[in-house]
Amino acid sequence: MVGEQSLFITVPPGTAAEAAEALRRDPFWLSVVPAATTILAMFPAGREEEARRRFRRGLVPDPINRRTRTIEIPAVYGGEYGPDLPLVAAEWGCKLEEAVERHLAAMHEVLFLGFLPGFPYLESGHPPVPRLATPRLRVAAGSIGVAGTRTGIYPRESPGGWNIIGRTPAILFHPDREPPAALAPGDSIRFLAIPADRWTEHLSFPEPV
Amino acid sequence: MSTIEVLHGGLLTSVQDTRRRSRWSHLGVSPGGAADERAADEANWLVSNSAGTAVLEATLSGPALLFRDGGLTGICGGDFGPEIDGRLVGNDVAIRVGPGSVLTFRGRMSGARAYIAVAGGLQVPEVLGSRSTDLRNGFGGFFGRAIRTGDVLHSGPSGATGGRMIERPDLENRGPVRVLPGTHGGRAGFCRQAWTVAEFDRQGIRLSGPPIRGGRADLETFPVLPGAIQLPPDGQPIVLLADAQPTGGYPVIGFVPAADLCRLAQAVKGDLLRFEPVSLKGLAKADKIEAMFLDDFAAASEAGALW
Repeated sequence: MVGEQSLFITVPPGTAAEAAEALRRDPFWLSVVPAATTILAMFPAGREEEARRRFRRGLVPDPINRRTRTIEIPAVYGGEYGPDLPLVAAEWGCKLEEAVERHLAAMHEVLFLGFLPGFPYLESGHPPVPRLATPRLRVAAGSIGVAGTRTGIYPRESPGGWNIIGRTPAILFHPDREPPAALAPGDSIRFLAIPADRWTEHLSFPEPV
Repeated sequence: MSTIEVLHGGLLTSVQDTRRRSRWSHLGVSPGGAADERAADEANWLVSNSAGTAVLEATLSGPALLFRDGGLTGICGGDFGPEIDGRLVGNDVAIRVGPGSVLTFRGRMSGARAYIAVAGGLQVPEVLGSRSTDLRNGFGGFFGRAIRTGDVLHSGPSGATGGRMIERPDLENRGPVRVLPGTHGGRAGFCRQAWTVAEFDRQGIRLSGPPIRGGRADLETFPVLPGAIQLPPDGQPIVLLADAQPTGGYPVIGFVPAADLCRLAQAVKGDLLRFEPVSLKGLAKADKIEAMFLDDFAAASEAGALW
């Protein structure tokens, strides 16, 4: 649908991040924001006809130029860093260690970012977990949470309703960096377990492998 | 280049411009910027700054500013009773301020946000393409926060000579706020009743009134923009403003077009608002007429016909 300065469409699951990236290569667009199955593209005022044309052309995926990055995120699981790990393990019907192994073994795909600058919504494919009945007023910066079949990471302290299973020292957002977020839609994420006493070695932007 | 000392910050005064951070919306960054971008642009025009120059956005009450080296300033938007050295000067006029003079505000008379422009613009670092302050996330503008007593601001060089003012038509009988279709149904029901402003901040305006049906919190998250009207489960709609998150999970039952959003950015708690549905075609037609008026206005003001 067309708005005053925006186009909004629904797309099949698994395609939004790539389609948005293809569209974003055209500097005509003021913003192109994907979510799981939707894309919102903003265009300059008064150029609606041109926007419709460019939108139709630009949504064609460009597999040759597409770069997919794999990024490793260091994480400390459980204990004070992951207060909801027992809850999640119980939900998954397994031991704490097995729940961690499952999360580490998965390839998580960044579907989109939102909620906070740099906050990624990852599709993790684990058995669904309900959100916390009562959200926390404060979740520590770097907290890794699961809800539904997804994983999210809080780049800064914030209220939060996801189940916190671990925490990362990695910096996911800084406004002085361009781009300011470490992750982008379409990235593949692997978590890497680190011991708590090696926290300070990983206080940086995670780099693509 | 001149120096401005903040004697008092006012309730919530921050550096904003109209250069949105839309380019980074896909990374979770709010577009940000002046909530009433028209008033910000007009204030900049008064002091001959280019559009998009950084200004101060004052909320509900104004700051007290000491112009150490003097300068040229102008205020548009909400009327908080601006005074220079205790003498009421009013909005919508470029004011030459002598060295050591103080700009203060008597008190709110209308509107929610006043925009204070200084010739030469406010010199703060550009972050992600804008000098706006993201208050929630603590970056941009003046150290990512509202200004307060003791802060020192700097304005850039300017050749402005002053003399500009803006004449306004009578605003008392403004019509309803226009609403374009949303991504979800519910616009008709929303427009059928009047709404009261319950509370507001830079993220949005919460409206109160008889609850309307259709609100949900369990939709798959999708991208949204300032101007979107969200309907949470409690049936009390929220109109998103500049600092809204770029994604949300409530149904969007309508969009407020940019021109009308500037009006909404001046609404305060207790204001009664009426809305009417409009199509893109209808909007384009109305905007054409307004644009013609504005062109005439710009031409007339350039020719000196307004002062």
